[in-house]
Amino acid sequence: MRWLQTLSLALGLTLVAYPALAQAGVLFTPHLDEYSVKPNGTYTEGTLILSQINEVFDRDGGRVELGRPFVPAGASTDTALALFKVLWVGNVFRDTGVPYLKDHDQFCRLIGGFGYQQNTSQVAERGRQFGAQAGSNGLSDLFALCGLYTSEHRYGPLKFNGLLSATLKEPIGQYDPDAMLNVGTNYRTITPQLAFNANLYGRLSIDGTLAYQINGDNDKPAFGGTSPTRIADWINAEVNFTWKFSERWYADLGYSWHKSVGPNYYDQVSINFKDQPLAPETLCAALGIGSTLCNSPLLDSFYLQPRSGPYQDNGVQASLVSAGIYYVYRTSTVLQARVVQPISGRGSQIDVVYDVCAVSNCPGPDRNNTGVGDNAFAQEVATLFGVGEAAATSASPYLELRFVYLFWAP
Amino acid sequence: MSRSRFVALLLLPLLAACLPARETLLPRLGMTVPGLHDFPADFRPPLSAETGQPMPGFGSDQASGVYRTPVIFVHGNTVSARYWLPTRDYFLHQGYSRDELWAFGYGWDNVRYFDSNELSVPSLERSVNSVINYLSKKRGVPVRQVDIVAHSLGVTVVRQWLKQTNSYHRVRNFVGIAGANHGTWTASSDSRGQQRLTAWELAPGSPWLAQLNRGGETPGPTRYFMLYDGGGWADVFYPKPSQDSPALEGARNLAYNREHGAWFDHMDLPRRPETLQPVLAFLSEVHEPLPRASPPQLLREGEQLRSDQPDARLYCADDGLEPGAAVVPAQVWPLKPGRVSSCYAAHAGSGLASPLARYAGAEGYQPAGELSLSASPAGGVYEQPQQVRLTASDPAAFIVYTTSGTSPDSGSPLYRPEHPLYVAAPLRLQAVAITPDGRRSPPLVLDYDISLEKVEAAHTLERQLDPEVPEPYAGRRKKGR
Repeated sequence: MRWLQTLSLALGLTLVAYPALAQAGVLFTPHLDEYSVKPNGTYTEGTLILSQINEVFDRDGGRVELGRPFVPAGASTDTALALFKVLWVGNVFRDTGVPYLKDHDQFCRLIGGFGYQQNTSQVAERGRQFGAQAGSNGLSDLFALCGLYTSEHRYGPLKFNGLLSATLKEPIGQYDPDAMLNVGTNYRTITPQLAFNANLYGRLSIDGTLAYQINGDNDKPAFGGTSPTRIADWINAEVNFTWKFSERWYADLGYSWHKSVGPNYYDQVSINFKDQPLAPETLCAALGIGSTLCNSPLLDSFYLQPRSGPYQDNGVQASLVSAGIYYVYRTSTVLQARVVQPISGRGSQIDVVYDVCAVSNCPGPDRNNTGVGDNAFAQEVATLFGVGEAAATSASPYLELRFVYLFWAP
Repeated sequence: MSRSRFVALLLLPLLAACLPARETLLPRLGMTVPGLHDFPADFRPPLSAETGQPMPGFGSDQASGVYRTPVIFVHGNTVSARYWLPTRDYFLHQGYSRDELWAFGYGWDNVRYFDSNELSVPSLERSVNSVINYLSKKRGVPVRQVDIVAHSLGVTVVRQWLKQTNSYHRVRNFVGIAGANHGTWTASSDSRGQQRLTAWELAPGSPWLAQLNRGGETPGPTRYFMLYDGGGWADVFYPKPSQDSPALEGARNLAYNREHGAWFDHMDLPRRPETLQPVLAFLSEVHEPLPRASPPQLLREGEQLRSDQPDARLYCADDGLEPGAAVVPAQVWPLKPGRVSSCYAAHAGSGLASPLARYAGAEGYQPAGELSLSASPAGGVYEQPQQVRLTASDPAAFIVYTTSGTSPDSGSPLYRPEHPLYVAAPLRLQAVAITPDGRRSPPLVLDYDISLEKVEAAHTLERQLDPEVPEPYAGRRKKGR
């Protein structure tokens, strides 16, 4: 059922969410990389992420063009995400008798944002056939994290410190289960994280992190149940190398990787054409419906009804490389431009069973995918792309513009 | 309850506890903010001139004694006395007693409010006085000198304090680590906001630094040791080509990283055993002052200066130059007509010295009536730094001044007409003119209020819309921005 695949390709391009586990970088000078110990105070940061997504990864790791061959070349989902971050560094336990904590600064961070995403017209038109809107704007989810720095150690020219934290994502972002695109995710996550910062010869900074993202369930999956309901946990890892050319100019190279632990599950699949019954002469040739069905003299129209599941995918995975430059302005501001390019990945796809019927609501009592329903006369299997952050894996590059500002500069 | 919801519930209280600054929240709840107060019960720490609160810190205990010149550690910006705890541990391990190791948190201890040199000088004066008074009382004989180890902003704070309070004779050794003696790029002219005062002071080539360094960078009997990176990479405050900014002419300068192939950064330099070893060696090079000796005094006999102790020597310089250990000592110093000599007497045997003092040659001098002193611009509230010109009614008189709140004496900084006084902070300027025959003008006392609060009050949105709206400024000065 390629017509359903076509649709889901578009849906697979929902906003590339940019979680709290953002790629590391220079916060501001002096010597203040993402995971380095910083002077006590409050820091603010704004990040704008722009992407034109026209490719996604399928479950075999192949790159699939958006909507091809049913949508002309050039179709895309355009996304913009503005993130606002506030970082507090201090020591609540300073000068108290609390062991360890009194000697190690703590930090907390809040990250909120606003997202914009819009499909190009051909993709949007496909979506409308399934009752979907063409775009989505609104608040993103809220991230809150707290943690503490470990001690600093020095080995010759190498200086090193660690960091422990846990991030909570609260799903307050815009989310409409009937919408084609959503800024929010509608499920909570908690992400324990280990990180380190190392500085070598005063010029090379290395930030690295390893995190385990525990994903909660989504009881209202988006767009016909093509976003997973039971979401696999993720492992995230990244490393970033920053080279200091001068006190004002930096450049970095990074690599990040994430992989789901096990499959995602889809329990509420209901995606279907909005207007039914369907006429074979208008759909068969264009959408590749089987000839037996289309040529049947018994029907001049038919109904489709998906089986809700559960279905499971093969998990998701992505590897990305990045390159960026920084300019430090007035010792209190960092301007950064960074390009991120996916180099490999795996998206979520599931094989959904559709009953083909002569009447609406045709599936009978057999809802367990074990055979044709009582009132159905055929079955078709459609391979659908999962949608949303938990399932879709963009294969398109994105541009990140970052503005780090320190209210109280050193 | 799902596991993520459960963990979230655990995390939220921690988040709620951390976000409001502890120093802000606890006082509002009527609770005392925990602080480092490692002082004996009978020692009352002095008040910080900036915060108005007793300074946190450490020093002394009931059991130990004073066997060496006490060391006072002076921290840099955005940190406090606790910064020196690893250094104190090292000194204790090397045989110092707790009575001999002191530190005070003079500032805000946060990047929210920056400390500045000018505003920190009164706190340092109180700190040194409190240590000397406490230990003198405890020991039963006067403690006349201290050693000072300072870091970063503390280095220029100490140097300004030495100059403004004429305290060279009270400091036997001064170790400055990574201080912006010739400026730092982070205080460049485009720096803004809360670091405005510090930026005016420590920008490379600033009038404030020129004022601090004028006449000699290592004046007085104090021994100077400057330790710093020197490589241009490890200490981000002093990149090339300013890697030698912390060095002082006339001091023993050690570019530690450059000379030892090390990579200690700005915060490491004063706290590593490797770098503290030469610091300790420097402090130990000179013998301890004789406990019951008296410092020599300068005597003027006509147009000559000498000391009241025959074995003492005079260290003098003319025309605005400050004498230091590098000048050729003399037993007698002749005063020259129309010139101002700056001198101190030092006794090598006792290890003590007199305060710096200035004298003008009086030969041929004719008094020019009543002596008075005036300033332009007058004291007041200003948004930007001011170049203040001082004028004495008698052109033969020389002018000395202070900006530290202390009354000027003849050894206070010398005003030079060709270099107007640079005022870049909310401070009290006190000046006095002294004629060659020793007469003094009535003291001129002027308050200059230059702060970000003033700027903010003058440029509120309301006032931009309607300039007639009164300026909501009452000279708060509190934050020292």
